[in-house]
Amino acid sequence: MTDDLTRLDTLSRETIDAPESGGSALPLAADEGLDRHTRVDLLKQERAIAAKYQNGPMWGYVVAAVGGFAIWLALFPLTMFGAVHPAITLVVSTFLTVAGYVTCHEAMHDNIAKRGSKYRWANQLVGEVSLLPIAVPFSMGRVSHLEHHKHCNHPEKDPDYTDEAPNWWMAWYKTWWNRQPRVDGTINRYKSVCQQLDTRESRLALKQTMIVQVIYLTVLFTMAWNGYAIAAVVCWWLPRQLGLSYIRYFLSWAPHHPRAGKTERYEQANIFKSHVGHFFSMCMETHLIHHLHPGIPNHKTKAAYLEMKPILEKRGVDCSAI
Amino acid sequence: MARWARHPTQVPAMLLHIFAAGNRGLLPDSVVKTMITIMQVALQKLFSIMPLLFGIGFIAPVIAQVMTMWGWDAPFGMQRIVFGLLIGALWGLYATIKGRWI
Repeated sequence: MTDDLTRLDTLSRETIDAPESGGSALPLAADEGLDRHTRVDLLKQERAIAAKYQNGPMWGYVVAAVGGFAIWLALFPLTMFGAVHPAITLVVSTFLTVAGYVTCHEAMHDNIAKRGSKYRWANQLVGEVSLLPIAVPFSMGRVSHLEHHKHCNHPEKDPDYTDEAPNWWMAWYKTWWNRQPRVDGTINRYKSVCQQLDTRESRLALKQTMIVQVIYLTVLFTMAWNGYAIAAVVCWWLPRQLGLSYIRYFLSWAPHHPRAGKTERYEQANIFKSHVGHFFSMCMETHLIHHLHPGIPNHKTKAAYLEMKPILEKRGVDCSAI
Repeated sequence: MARWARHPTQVPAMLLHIFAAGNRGLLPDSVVKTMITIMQVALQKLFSIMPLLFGIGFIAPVIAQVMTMWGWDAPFGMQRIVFGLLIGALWGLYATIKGRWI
């Protein structure tokens, strides 16, 4: 933490340097009259609070990721040989599929262990195992998610923009529609973004995506033709479909809707009240905090939000929901 | 071992390039690169008809096994797997042509 403005990140600098009368940059009335000095002061306060919630032990995520993956894997033989009822497998596997994205999300932002840390392997491990239930490699998840942060709510550059829908039931429908073979959504959009980026990481992500998808389909086909089709459905295929829809809805649509034109720092995500609660909405009620400070672990965003709330209100953020 | 496969995080990529890792200088790098490209093109072609393959490889046996589980017979005296293949292949073909399942 520092008072030196030269160390502020680019987004913060844009916020400070924004024209004071620029209503489009910060949408609500509360911020329109803020002068440069006030904006700098608020940003310092915000960063001081954020610093308190960053870091801290992250082993819980490692245990959850590895343990969850082990249980998910164990469900295959347990279901195939009748030790676990297919309905139980479906519920548990779907839960683990969704939970896997949460743990992987931390790894995408290097929150498990930073680069250069002696525990860096744990960050990689969490990322690699957590996304396998949705049959997407960590490399693809990370590249596309970081692009989402970089170009949040930009119609062409944000890989998640295709999740936008006018209302909640259309949003659920869109999660399914975007997975159709030749629709430009989710994984198809991620692939085209990677092709456009054409970096070492994006090329690796494309290769690994192809491999993971081949493995996924090979497992499904092999199980199905050997008499375990129903086990394949409840262990992997259906939890993946349900999990992806749940993830897209709560992680992409709900916190970002409406997306159009909301590209500035304090309007990239919303503070909203979820009908299924903070835990079952994957802590997305306070997703704005994640976009402001991705280094704050998912489980601490609500506490950080509550402390930052007066500052965010001065910034013009609608904090009425929580 | 090929340069890209030295880091453990690149293990999945190593699977695609497994013969390159096992090559150990037996083949020139240019030959290995060409073989990798051919494999990638072949996989891309395979993915373009994936809905059809999914219909045959997954939907067909799922239909047959669900019918067995619930004690349903296939129409016209067909075997359940033949019925499953008929539905799966036609549905997969439709998805391949239209680019969507419904």
